[in-house]
Amino acid sequence: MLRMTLQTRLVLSVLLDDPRRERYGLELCELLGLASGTIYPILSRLEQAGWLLSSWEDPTVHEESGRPRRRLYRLTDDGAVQAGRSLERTRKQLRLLRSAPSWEGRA
Amino acid sequence: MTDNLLAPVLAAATAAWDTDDVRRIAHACRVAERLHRGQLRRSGDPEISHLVEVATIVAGQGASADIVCAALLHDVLEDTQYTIEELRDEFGPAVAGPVQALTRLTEAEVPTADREVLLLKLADRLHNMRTIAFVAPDTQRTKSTETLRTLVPLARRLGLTGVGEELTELANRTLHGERRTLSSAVVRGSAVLLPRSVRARWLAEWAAELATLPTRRATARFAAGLVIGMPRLAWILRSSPTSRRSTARLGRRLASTVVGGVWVAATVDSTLALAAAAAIAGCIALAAAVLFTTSDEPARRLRELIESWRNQR
Repeated sequence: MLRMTLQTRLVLSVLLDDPRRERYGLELCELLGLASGTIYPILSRLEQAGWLLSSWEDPTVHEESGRPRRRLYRLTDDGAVQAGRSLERTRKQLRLLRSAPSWEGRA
Repeated sequence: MTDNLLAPVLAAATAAWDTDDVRRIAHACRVAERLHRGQLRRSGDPEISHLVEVATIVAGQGASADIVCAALLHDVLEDTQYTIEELRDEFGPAVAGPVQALTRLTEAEVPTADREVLLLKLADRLHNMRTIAFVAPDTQRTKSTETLRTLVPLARRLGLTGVGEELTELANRTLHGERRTLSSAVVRGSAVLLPRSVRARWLAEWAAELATLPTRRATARFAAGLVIGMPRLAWILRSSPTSRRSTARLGRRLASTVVGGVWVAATVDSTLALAAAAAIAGCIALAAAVLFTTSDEPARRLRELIESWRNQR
């Protein structure tokens, strides 16, 4: 029952690109050009569904740079499988759309 | 007076103490209060309040009565004229031992010390970190760094995850204090919509991101986005099964406020006031229905209904 919006699919595609990599919210905002108010609800929904696992950044990483610890998100094994399936469905729909006749040339 | 002081300790206790245990703890509290009378913490509070807080923390971790007594008396050897012999005579070796070990504990000995002594040390540090605002900034930084480096891993090793997490949060907050900007203020304000249990986590997450944004415009854009998305995030978080209880509590509080408001408007005996109250009640009811929906069932059933109606045509 996950609400699969276009923005959610964008987030999933970035995460699936490198499933072992951990991303933080702001990073996804910048990569996708989506607002913070869009990204965090998506991340929390995915986390609730068990597709993502979030954790605090390792102290050794951020202490050097003197900034507070970030919250990092990573695909779970199940999440990666589900995300893959859902994106495959999207790709099929896009193929249908591309092969559909256009209005141009119709009398 | 001791009874008032001890109330939080007894309330927090998770171990089973008998009346003899409670009597000994009360005695330790009286002795500690007498010995430290007149001594003040940096915050201006009397020293005994710190000792009671430490005792509350260890009690909450399932400590025995002996360790709670040791918590109440953990500074007597260092800060008063009380001697180790007097301590041993009055309270026995089970209390005197940990107090002495804690007083003598050096950095090097920490990994090999007794679990009970380490619990006392962590509890002492936890309360100090909670009240760290009252010491000099340099000391704050040193203590926080030391906490993260040595004591948090220690807490984790002993299985005291709650203590470890709070120490981490406090130390990080001290080291990277939030700049009080308008952006962080509006985010914090709108975050009251979120369930209380997760509010701190999200605020900490966003504070970390806000701290890295280079320009004021980027900060403002990020904060504005969060504020706009807050109702949606609140709805998502509140429809999870774990937050239903707090959401129900909030719903009840809202309902009683509405009822109270309408009642006041009715007694004021003005049709305008009543109409306004009814309108406000209607808006709140609508918002509540949206915010506190706990399942997709109604929406799904509605969709199925529409599908079947469409198929019939």
